[in-house]
Amino acid sequence: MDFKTLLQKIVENVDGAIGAAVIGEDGIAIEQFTTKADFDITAAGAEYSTIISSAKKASKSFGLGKTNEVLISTEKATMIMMMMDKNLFVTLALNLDGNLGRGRLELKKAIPELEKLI
Amino acid sequence: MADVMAEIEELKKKISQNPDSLIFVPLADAYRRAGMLDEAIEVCKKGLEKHQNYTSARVVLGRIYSEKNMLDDAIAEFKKVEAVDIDNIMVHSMLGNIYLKKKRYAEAVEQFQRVLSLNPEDLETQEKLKEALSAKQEPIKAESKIVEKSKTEEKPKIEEKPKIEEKSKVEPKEDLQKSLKVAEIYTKKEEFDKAIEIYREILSKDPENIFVQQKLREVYSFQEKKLEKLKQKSSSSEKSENDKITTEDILVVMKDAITETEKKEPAKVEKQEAKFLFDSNKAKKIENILKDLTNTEGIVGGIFLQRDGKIVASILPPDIDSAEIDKDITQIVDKTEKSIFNMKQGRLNYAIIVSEVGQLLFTEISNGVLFMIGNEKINMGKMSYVLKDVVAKIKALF
Repeated sequence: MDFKTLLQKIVENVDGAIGAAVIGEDGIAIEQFTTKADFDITAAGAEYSTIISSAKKASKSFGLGKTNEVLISTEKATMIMMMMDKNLFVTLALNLDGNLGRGRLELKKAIPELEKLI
Repeated sequence: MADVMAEIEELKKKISQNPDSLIFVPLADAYRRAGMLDEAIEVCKKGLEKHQNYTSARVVLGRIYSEKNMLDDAIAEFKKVEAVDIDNIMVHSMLGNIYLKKKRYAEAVEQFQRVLSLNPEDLETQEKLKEALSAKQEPIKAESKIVEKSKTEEKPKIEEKPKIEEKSKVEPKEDLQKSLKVAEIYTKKEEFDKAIEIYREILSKDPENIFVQQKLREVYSFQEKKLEKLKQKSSSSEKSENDKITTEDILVVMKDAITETEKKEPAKVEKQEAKFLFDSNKAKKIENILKDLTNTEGIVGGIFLQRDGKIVASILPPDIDSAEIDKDITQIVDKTEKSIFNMKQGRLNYAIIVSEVGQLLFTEISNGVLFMIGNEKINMGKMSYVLKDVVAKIKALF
Protein backbone atom coordinates (compact mmCIF):
# COMPACT_ATOMS: atom_id res chain seq x y z
CA MET A 1 0.00 0.00 0.00
CA ASP A 2 1.35 3.49 -0.83
CA PHE A 3 1.14 6.74 1.16
CA LYS A 4 -1.88 8.06 -0.69
CA THR A 5 -3.90 4.87 -0.28
CA LEU A 6 -3.12 4.78 3.45
CA LEU A 7 -4.14 8.41 3.89
CA GLN A 8 -7.33 7.82 1.91
CA LYS A 9 -8.13 4.85 4.16
CA ILE A 10 -7.72 7.00 7.29
CA VAL A 11 -10.03 9.71 5.91
CA GLU A 12 -12.64 7.20 4.78
CA ASN A 13 -12.67 5.44 8.16
CA VAL A 14 -13.33 8.58 10.19
CA ASP A 15 -16.66 10.40 10.22
CA GLY A 16 -16.22 14.06 9.46
CA ALA A 17 -12.62 13.75 8.22
CA ILE A 18 -11.72 16.33 5.58
CA GLY A 19 -8.20 15.30 4.68
CA ALA A 20 -4.94 13.75 5.77
CA ALA A 21 -1.31 14.33 4.90
CA VAL A 22 2.22 13.27 5.73
CA ILE A 23 4.33 16.36 6.24
CA GLY A 24 7.90 17.14 7.19
CA GLU A 25 8.57 19.44 10.12
CA ASP A 26 9.83 21.92 7.55
CA GLY A 27 6.23 22.12 6.32
CA ILE A 28 6.69 20.26 3.06
CA ALA A 29 4.02 17.66 2.31
CA ILE A 30 5.16 14.24 1.21
CA GLU A 31 1.67 13.04 0.33
CA GLN A 32 -1.87 14.16 0.96
CA PHE A 33 -5.45 13.14 0.44
CA THR A 34 -8.45 15.42 0.76
CA THR A 35 -12.17 15.12 0.20
CA LYS A 36 -12.92 18.84 0.14
CA ALA A 37 -11.65 20.79 -2.83
CA ASP A 38 -11.68 24.06 -0.90
CA PHE A 39 -9.62 22.73 2.02
CA ASP A 40 -5.92 22.87 1.33
CA ILE A 41 -4.53 20.24 3.70
CA THR A 42 -1.00 20.82 2.38
CA ALA A 43 -1.10 24.52 3.23
CA ALA A 44 -2.70 23.78 6.60
CA GLY A 45 -0.03 21.20 7.39
CA ALA A 46 2.72 23.58 6.35
CA GLU A 47 1.26 26.33 8.50
CA TYR A 48 0.67 24.16 11.56
CA SER A 49 4.10 22.55 11.27
CA THR A 50 5.50 25.78 12.70
CA ILE A 51 3.71 24.98 15.94
CA ILE A 52 5.37 21.59 16.39
CA SER A 53 8.84 22.77 17.32
CA SER A 54 7.33 25.16 19.90
CA ALA A 55 5.14 22.36 21.22
CA LYS A 56 8.21 20.15 21.64
CA LYS A 57 10.01 22.88 23.52
CA ALA A 58 7.04 23.66 25.76
CA SER A 59 6.58 19.97 26.49
CA LYS A 60 10.23 19.69 27.47
CA SER A 61 10.03 22.77 29.73
CA PHE A 62 7.11 21.24 31.59
CA GLY A 63 9.02 17.99 32.06
CA LEU A 64 6.51 16.05 29.98
CA GLY A 65 9.07 14.34 27.77
CA LYS A 66 8.88 13.68 24.07
CA THR A 67 5.93 15.18 22.19
CA ASN A 68 3.76 12.57 20.52
CA GLU A 69 0.82 14.55 19.32
CA VAL A 70 -0.53 18.08 18.90
CA LEU A 71 -4.22 18.75 18.54
CA ILE A 72 -5.67 22.11 17.60
CA SER A 73 -9.36 22.80 17.76
CA THR A 74 -10.70 25.99 16.19
CA GLU A 75 -14.09 27.44 15.36
CA LYS A 76 -14.00 25.77 11.96
CA ALA A 77 -12.03 22.54 12.18
CA THR A 78 -9.83 20.28 14.27
CA MET A 79 -6.33 19.27 13.25
CA ILE A 80 -4.61 16.27 14.78
CA MET A 81 -0.86 16.00 14.20
CA MET A 82 0.96 12.84 15.28
CA MET A 83 4.71 12.58 15.21
CA MET A 84 6.42 9.97 13.08
CA ASP A 85 10.05 8.98 12.52
CA LYS A 86 12.56 11.20 10.72
CA ASN A 87 11.02 14.55 11.65
CA LEU A 88 7.78 13.79 9.86
CA PHE A 89 4.23 13.99 11.12
CA VAL A 90 0.88 12.75 9.91
CA THR A 91 -2.03 15.13 10.16
CA LEU A 92 -5.76 14.62 9.97
CA ALA A 93 -8.26 17.45 9.55
CA LEU A 94 -11.78 17.01 10.84
CA ASN A 95 -14.81 19.22 10.55
CA LEU A 96 -16.54 20.36 13.72
CA ASP A 97 -18.73 17.30 14.12
CA GLY A 98 -15.93 14.91 13.17
CA ASN A 99 -15.21 11.88 15.33
CA LEU A 100 -12.06 12.99 17.15
CA GLY A 101 -11.53 9.75 19.08
CA ARG A 102 -11.81 7.64 15.95
CA GLY A 103 -9.51 10.02 14.12
CA ARG A 104 -6.78 9.61 16.73
CA LEU A 105 -7.21 5.85 16.73
CA GLU A 106 -6.96 5.58 12.94
CA LEU A 107 -3.84 7.74 12.91
CA LYS A 108 -2.20 5.64 15.62
CA LYS A 109 -3.02 2.48 13.68
CA ALA A 110 -1.68 3.92 10.42
CA ILE A 111 1.63 5.29 11.74
CA PRO A 112 3.57 1.97 11.72
CA GLU A 113 2.40 1.37 8.14
CA LEU A 114 3.33 4.89 7.08
CA GLU A 115 6.73 4.61 8.75
CA LYS A 116 7.47 1.47 6.74
CA LEU A 117 7.10 3.56 3.57
CA ILE A 118 9.57 6.25 4.60
CA MET B 1 9.79 10.77 -12.30
CA ALA B 2 6.45 10.49 -14.11
CA ASP B 3 4.68 10.84 -10.75
CA VAL B 4 6.53 14.05 -9.92
CA MET B 5 5.74 15.51 -13.33
CA ALA B 6 2.06 14.68 -12.88
CA GLU B 7 2.20 16.32 -9.45
CA ILE B 8 3.82 19.42 -10.97
CA GLU B 9 1.08 19.67 -13.59
CA GLU B 10 -1.61 19.30 -10.93
CA LEU B 11 -0.02 21.96 -8.70
CA LYS B 12 0.46 24.34 -11.64
CA LYS B 13 -3.22 23.98 -12.44
CA LYS B 14 -4.14 24.80 -8.83
CA ILE B 15 -1.90 27.88 -8.85
CA SER B 16 -3.42 29.12 -12.09
CA GLN B 17 -6.84 28.86 -10.43
CA ASN B 18 -5.65 30.70 -7.34
CA PRO B 19 -2.46 32.69 -7.95
CA ASP B 20 -2.31 33.86 -4.32
CA SER B 21 -2.35 30.31 -2.97
CA LEU B 22 0.44 28.95 -0.79
CA ILE B 23 0.62 25.98 -3.17
CA PHE B 24 3.75 27.52 -4.72
CA VAL B 25 5.75 25.86 -1.93
CA PRO B 26 4.83 22.25 -2.78
CA LEU B 27 5.20 23.18 -6.48
CA ALA B 28 8.72 24.46 -5.91
CA ASP B 29 9.51 21.36 -3.88
CA ALA B 30 8.13 19.13 -6.65
CA TYR B 31 10.38 20.93 -9.17
CA ARG B 32 13.28 20.36 -6.78
CA ARG B 33 12.53 16.65 -6.55
CA ALA B 34 12.33 16.50 -10.34
CA GLY B 35 15.79 18.07 -10.51
CA MET B 36 14.38 21.24 -12.15
CA LEU B 37 16.18 23.53 -9.73
CA ASP B 38 16.02 26.74 -11.77
CA GLU B 39 12.25 26.42 -12.13
CA ALA B 40 12.01 25.65 -8.40
CA ILE B 41 13.94 28.83 -7.53
CA GLU B 42 11.81 30.94 -9.86
CA VAL B 43 8.53 29.64 -8.39
CA CYS B 44 9.74 30.19 -4.84
CA LYS B 45 10.99 33.70 -5.47
CA LYS B 46 7.76 34.66 -7.21
CA GLY B 47 5.67 33.26 -4.35
CA LEU B 48 7.82 35.00 -1.77
CA GLU B 49 7.15 38.35 -3.41
CA LYS B 50 3.52 37.90 -2.33
CA HIS B 51 4.12 36.03 0.93
CA GLN B 52 7.32 37.49 2.33
CA ASN B 53 6.81 36.11 5.82
CA TYR B 54 6.05 32.57 4.70
CA THR B 55 8.96 30.80 6.31
CA SER B 56 8.25 27.37 4.80
CA ALA B 57 8.87 28.88 1.38
CA ARG B 58 12.20 30.27 2.54
CA VAL B 59 13.16 26.85 3.89
CA VAL B 60 12.40 25.29 0.50
CA LEU B 61 14.31 28.04 -1.32
CA GLY B 62 17.26 27.55 1.01
CA ARG B 63 17.17 23.83 0.36
CA ILE B 64 17.14 24.36 -3.41
CA TYR B 65 20.08 26.77 -3.19
CA SER B 66 21.87 24.20 -1.08
CA GLU B 67 21.28 21.50 -3.71
CA LYS B 68 22.56 23.87 -6.39
CA ASN B 69 25.64 24.37 -4.23
CA MET B 70 24.77 28.08 -3.90
CA LEU B 71 25.70 27.80 -0.26
CA ASP B 72 25.94 31.50 0.60
CA ASP B 73 22.46 32.10 -0.84
CA ALA B 74 21.17 29.10 1.11
CA ILE B 75 22.67 30.45 4.33
CA ALA B 76 21.09 33.84 3.70
CA GLU B 77 17.62 32.28 3.28
CA PHE B 78 17.95 30.03 6.32
CA LYS B 79 19.17 32.94 8.42
CA LYS B 80 16.03 34.88 7.51
CA VAL B 81 13.94 31.99 8.81
CA GLU B 82 16.11 31.63 11.90
CA ALA B 83 15.56 35.31 12.70
CA VAL B 84 11.81 34.79 13.09
CA ASP B 85 11.67 31.12 14.05
CA ILE B 86 14.54 30.35 16.39
CA ASP B 87 13.29 26.81 17.02
CA ASN B 88 13.08 25.65 13.42
CA ILE B 89 14.86 22.33 13.71
CA MET B 90 15.15 21.84 9.93
CA VAL B 91 16.82 25.21 9.47
CA HIS B 92 19.40 24.55 12.19
CA SER B 93 20.09 21.14 10.76
CA MET B 94 20.54 22.45 7.21
CA LEU B 95 22.66 25.38 8.36
CA GLY B 96 24.82 22.96 10.33
CA ASN B 97 25.34 20.81 7.22
CA ILE B 98 26.24 23.81 5.08
CA TYR B 99 28.69 25.16 7.64
CA LEU B 100 30.24 21.72 7.89
CA LYS B 101 30.60 21.63 4.11
CA LYS B 102 32.17 25.07 4.17
CA LYS B 103 34.48 23.97 7.02
CA ARG B 104 33.07 26.68 9.27
CA TYR B 105 33.15 24.26 12.17
CA ALA B 106 32.35 26.60 15.07
CA GLU B 107 29.14 27.68 13.38
CA ALA B 108 28.33 24.08 12.46
CA VAL B 109 28.76 23.06 16.11
CA GLU B 110 26.43 25.85 17.23
CA GLN B 111 23.74 24.80 14.75
CA PHE B 112 23.95 21.10 15.59
CA GLN B 113 23.79 21.93 19.30
CA ARG B 114 20.58 23.84 18.64
CA VAL B 115 19.10 20.86 16.81
CA LEU B 116 19.94 18.61 19.74
CA SER B 117 18.52 21.05 22.28
CA LEU B 118 15.19 20.66 20.44
CA ASN B 119 15.50 16.97 19.68
CA PRO B 120 18.13 15.31 21.91
CA GLU B 121 17.43 11.87 20.42
CA ASP B 122 18.52 12.79 16.89
CA LEU B 123 21.34 10.27 16.38
CA GLU B 124 22.36 11.58 12.98
CA THR B 125 22.89 15.09 14.37
CA GLN B 126 24.78 13.67 17.37
CA GLU B 127 27.22 12.11 14.90
CA LYS B 128 27.53 15.31 12.91
CA LEU B 129 28.15 17.31 16.06
CA LYS B 130 30.97 14.93 17.00
CA GLU B 131 32.43 15.35 13.52
CA ALA B 132 32.21 19.16 13.67
CA LEU B 133 33.64 19.26 17.19
CA SER B 134 36.61 17.10 16.36
CA ALA B 135 37.28 19.14 13.20
CA LYS B 136 37.03 22.33 15.22
CA GLN B 137 39.45 21.09 17.85
CA GLU B 138 42.09 19.89 15.41
CA PRO B 139 45.38 21.75 15.74
CA ILE B 140 45.80 24.50 13.20
CA LYS B 141 47.63 23.06 10.26
CA ALA B 142 48.73 24.76 7.13
CA GLU B 143 45.63 23.50 5.39
CA SER B 144 43.24 24.85 8.02
CA LYS B 145 44.99 28.20 7.82
CA ILE B 146 44.01 28.35 4.20
CA VAL B 147 40.48 27.38 5.15
CA GLU B 148 40.41 30.09 7.80
CA LYS B 149 41.62 32.58 5.28
CA SER B 150 38.90 31.69 2.81
CA LYS B 151 36.43 31.70 5.70
CA THR B 152 37.24 35.29 6.60
CA GLU B 153 37.02 36.24 2.99
CA GLU B 154 33.59 34.70 2.65
CA LYS B 155 32.10 35.76 5.94
CA PRO B 156 31.43 39.42 5.22
CA LYS B 157 29.37 38.45 2.16
CA ILE B 158 26.87 36.74 4.41
CA GLU B 159 27.12 38.64 7.61
CA GLU B 160 27.28 42.17 6.29
CA LYS B 161 24.02 41.86 4.42
CA PRO B 162 21.73 41.47 7.44
CA LYS B 163 23.58 44.26 9.24
CA ILE B 164 22.81 46.68 6.45
CA GLU B 165 19.19 45.52 6.44
CA GLU B 166 18.96 45.89 10.21
CA LYS B 167 20.26 49.42 10.08
CA SER B 168 17.81 50.43 7.42
CA LYS B 169 14.96 48.97 9.45
CA VAL B 170 15.74 50.82 12.69
CA GLU B 171 14.04 54.02 11.69
CA PRO B 172 10.66 52.56 10.64
CA LYS B 173 10.62 50.20 13.64
CA GLU B 174 10.87 53.14 16.02
CA ASP B 175 7.88 54.73 14.34
CA LEU B 176 6.05 51.44 14.40
CA GLN B 177 6.81 51.06 18.08
CA LYS B 178 5.35 54.46 18.89
CA SER B 179 2.23 53.75 16.85
CA LEU B 180 1.79 50.40 18.56
CA LYS B 181 2.07 52.00 21.98
CA VAL B 182 -0.53 54.63 21.17
CA ALA B 183 -2.81 51.93 19.77
CA GLU B 184 -2.37 49.92 22.96
CA ILE B 185 -3.33 52.91 25.08
CA TYR B 186 -6.44 53.47 22.98
CA THR B 187 -7.27 49.80 23.40
CA LYS B 188 -6.83 49.97 27.18
CA LYS B 189 -9.01 53.05 27.34
CA GLU B 190 -11.53 51.20 25.17
CA GLU B 191 -11.30 53.73 22.37
CA PHE B 192 -11.25 50.87 19.91
CA ASP B 193 -12.00 52.83 16.72
CA LYS B 194 -8.83 54.86 17.16
CA ALA B 195 -6.76 51.74 17.89
CA ILE B 196 -8.24 50.03 14.80
CA GLU B 197 -7.40 53.07 12.70
CA ILE B 198 -3.74 52.91 13.80
CA TYR B 199 -3.43 49.16 13.23
CA ARG B 200 -5.05 49.48 9.80
CA GLU B 201 -2.67 52.22 8.85
CA ILE B 202 0.31 50.05 9.84
CA LEU B 203 -1.14 47.14 7.86
CA SER B 204 -1.66 49.33 4.79
CA LYS B 205 2.12 49.78 4.74
CA ASP B 206 3.00 46.29 5.93
CA PRO B 207 0.06 43.98 5.14
CA GLU B 208 1.88 40.81 6.22
CA ASN B 209 2.76 42.01 9.72
CA ILE B 210 1.35 39.08 11.63
CA PHE B 211 1.74 40.73 15.03
CA VAL B 212 -0.36 43.72 13.95
CA GLN B 213 -2.91 41.46 12.25
CA GLN B 214 -3.26 39.66 15.56
CA LYS B 215 -3.58 42.93 17.50
CA LEU B 216 -6.25 44.15 15.10
CA ARG B 217 -8.18 40.94 15.55
CA GLU B 218 -7.99 41.33 19.32
CA VAL B 219 -9.27 44.90 19.18
CA TYR B 220 -12.18 43.85 16.99
CA SER B 221 -12.97 41.16 19.50
CA PHE B 222 -12.82 43.61 22.44
CA GLN B 223 -15.00 46.04 20.52
CA GLU B 224 -17.55 43.35 19.81
CA LYS B 225 -17.66 42.38 23.49
CA LYS B 226 -18.07 45.99 24.52
CA LEU B 227 -20.97 46.45 22.12
CA GLU B 228 -22.61 43.32 23.50
CA LYS B 229 -22.28 44.67 27.03
CA LEU B 230 -23.70 48.01 25.97
CA LYS B 231 -26.66 46.30 24.41
CA GLN B 232 -27.30 44.43 27.63
CA LYS B 233 -27.13 47.55 29.76
CA SER B 234 -29.83 50.01 28.86
CA SER B 235 -27.89 52.81 30.47
CA SER B 236 -24.85 53.31 28.32
CA SER B 237 -21.66 53.84 30.21
CA GLU B 238 -20.34 57.29 29.60
CA LYS B 239 -16.67 57.73 29.91
CA SER B 240 -15.38 60.22 32.42
CA GLU B 241 -12.93 62.87 31.42
CA ASN B 242 -10.21 60.91 33.22
CA ASP B 243 -10.68 57.92 30.92
CA LYS B 244 -10.08 59.87 27.76
CA ILE B 245 -6.67 60.05 26.19
CA THR B 246 -5.17 63.47 26.45
CA THR B 247 -2.38 64.91 24.33
CA GLU B 248 -0.23 64.63 27.43
CA ASP B 249 -0.87 60.91 27.65
CA ILE B 250 0.31 60.47 24.10
CA LEU B 251 3.35 62.67 24.58
CA VAL B 252 4.39 60.71 27.67
CA VAL B 253 4.04 57.44 25.78
CA MET B 254 5.96 58.79 22.80
CA LYS B 255 8.74 59.94 25.11
CA ASP B 256 8.85 56.56 26.86
CA ALA B 257 8.88 54.82 23.51
CA ILE B 258 11.89 56.78 22.30
CA THR B 259 13.80 56.21 25.53
CA GLU B 260 13.00 52.50 25.52
CA THR B 261 13.93 52.08 21.87
CA GLU B 262 17.39 53.25 22.72
CA LYS B 263 17.68 50.55 25.36
CA LYS B 264 15.87 47.65 23.75
CA GLU B 265 15.78 45.63 20.56
CA PRO B 266 12.80 46.72 18.47
CA ALA B 267 11.60 43.20 17.71
CA LYS B 268 11.15 42.38 21.37
CA VAL B 269 9.19 45.46 22.35
CA GLU B 270 5.78 43.86 22.53
CA LYS B 271 6.97 41.32 25.12
CA GLN B 272 8.84 43.85 27.22
CA GLU B 273 5.81 46.07 27.52
CA ALA B 274 3.96 43.57 29.71
CA LYS B 275 1.81 45.28 32.31
CA PHE B 276 -0.77 43.76 34.58
CA LEU B 277 -4.27 44.06 33.16
CA PHE B 278 -5.75 42.03 36.02
CA ASP B 279 -6.06 43.52 39.49
CA SER B 280 -4.69 41.59 42.46
CA ASN B 281 -8.16 40.63 43.61
CA LYS B 282 -8.99 39.02 40.27
CA ALA B 283 -5.55 37.38 40.12
CA LYS B 284 -6.15 35.86 43.59
CA LYS B 285 -9.53 34.51 42.50
CA ILE B 286 -7.97 32.96 39.41
CA GLU B 287 -5.27 31.41 41.58
CA ASN B 288 -7.95 29.84 43.77
CA ILE B 289 -9.66 28.40 40.70
CA LEU B 290 -6.31 26.93 39.62
CA LYS B 291 -5.83 25.47 43.13
CA ASP B 292 -9.21 23.75 42.87
CA LEU B 293 -8.24 22.54 39.44
CA THR B 294 -5.19 20.73 40.77
CA ASN B 295 -7.45 18.74 43.10
CA THR B 296 -8.66 16.89 40.01
CA GLU B 297 -6.85 13.59 39.63
CA GLY B 298 -4.24 13.84 36.91
CA ILE B 299 -4.09 17.65 36.80
CA VAL B 300 -0.78 18.76 38.28
CA GLY B 301 -0.83 22.46 37.51
CA GLY B 302 -2.35 25.44 35.83
CA ILE B 303 -1.25 28.85 34.63
CA PHE B 304 -3.23 31.87 33.59
CA LEU B 305 -1.36 34.49 31.64
CA GLN B 306 -2.09 37.71 29.87
CA ARG B 307 -1.92 37.83 26.07
CA ASP B 308 1.43 39.61 26.34
CA GLY B 309 2.87 36.65 28.26
CA LYS B 310 2.73 38.10 31.77
CA ILE B 311 1.71 35.40 34.24
CA VAL B 312 -1.36 36.41 36.28
CA ALA B 313 -1.64 33.31 38.45
CA SER B 314 -0.02 29.90 38.51
CA ILE B 315 -0.08 26.69 40.48
CA LEU B 316 2.83 24.58 39.37
CA PRO B 317 4.53 21.37 40.46
CA PRO B 318 7.65 22.16 42.58
CA ASP B 319 10.07 21.08 39.84
CA ILE B 320 8.76 23.66 37.37
CA ASP B 321 9.95 27.24 37.58
CA SER B 322 7.38 29.66 36.14
CA ALA B 323 10.12 32.10 35.11
CA GLU B 324 11.73 29.43 32.94
CA ILE B 325 8.58 28.36 31.12
CA ASP B 326 7.34 31.91 30.53
CA LYS B 327 9.02 32.29 27.12
CA ASP B 328 8.05 28.84 25.86
CA ILE B 329 4.37 29.15 26.67
CA THR B 330 4.13 32.61 25.15
CA GLN B 331 5.79 31.31 22.01
CA ILE B 332 3.49 28.33 21.59
CA VAL B 333 0.40 30.53 22.05
CA ASP B 334 1.70 33.12 19.56
CA LYS B 335 2.57 30.53 16.94
CA THR B 336 -0.74 28.72 17.31
CA GLU B 337 -2.75 31.93 17.01
CA LYS B 338 -0.76 33.11 14.00
CA SER B 339 -1.25 29.79 12.22
CA ILE B 340 -4.97 29.75 12.91
CA PHE B 341 -5.24 33.33 11.72
CA ASN B 342 -3.27 32.60 8.54
CA MET B 343 -5.49 29.62 7.81
CA LYS B 344 -8.65 31.69 8.45
CA GLN B 345 -9.86 29.14 10.98
CA GLY B 346 -11.64 31.57 13.28
CA ARG B 347 -10.87 31.53 16.98
CA LEU B 348 -8.90 28.91 18.87
CA ASN B 349 -11.09 26.62 20.95
CA TYR B 350 -8.21 24.80 22.55
CA ALA B 351 -4.90 23.13 21.77
CA ILE B 352 -3.50 19.99 23.37
CA ILE B 353 0.08 18.76 23.33
CA VAL B 354 0.22 15.07 24.16
CA SER B 355 3.62 13.98 25.39
CA GLU B 356 5.26 10.88 26.84
CA VAL B 357 4.38 11.55 30.48
CA GLY B 358 1.58 14.06 30.35
CA GLN B 359 -0.40 16.62 28.47
CA LEU B 360 -0.50 20.35 28.11
CA LEU B 361 -3.75 22.04 27.19
CA PHE B 362 -4.30 25.71 26.52
CA THR B 363 -7.20 27.92 25.58
CA GLU B 364 -8.04 31.60 25.27
CA ILE B 365 -10.27 33.16 27.89
CA SER B 366 -11.17 36.82 27.51
CA ASN B 367 -7.82 38.61 27.16
CA GLY B 368 -5.86 35.83 28.82
CA VAL B 369 -4.68 32.29 28.14
CA LEU B 370 -5.23 29.32 30.43
CA PHE B 371 -2.75 26.43 30.53
CA MET B 372 -3.57 23.13 32.19
CA ILE B 373 -0.87 20.55 32.87
CA GLY B 374 -1.86 16.93 33.18
CA ASN B 375 0.18 13.85 34.03
CA GLU B 376 -0.09 10.37 32.54
CA LYS B 377 -3.12 9.57 34.74
CA ILE B 378 -5.44 11.84 32.77
CA ASN B 379 -6.53 11.42 29.16
CA MET B 380 -7.38 14.01 26.55
CA GLY B 381 -11.13 13.52 26.93
CA LYS B 382 -11.09 14.23 30.66
CA MET B 383 -8.77 17.22 30.18
CA SER B 384 -11.27 18.76 27.73
CA TYR B 385 -14.14 18.00 30.10
CA VAL B 386 -12.38 19.66 33.06
CA LEU B 387 -11.48 22.60 30.85
CA LYS B 388 -15.13 23.53 30.26
CA ASP B 389 -15.70 23.84 34.00
CA VAL B 390 -12.60 25.98 34.61
CA VAL B 391 -13.34 28.24 31.65
CA ALA B 392 -16.85 28.88 32.98
CA LYS B 393 -15.45 29.77 36.44
CA ILE B 394 -12.84 32.16 35.06
CA LYS B 395 -15.29 33.76 32.62
CA ALA B 396 -17.63 34.43 35.52
CA LEU B 397 -14.98 36.75 36.99
CA PHE B 398 -15.14 39.14 34.03
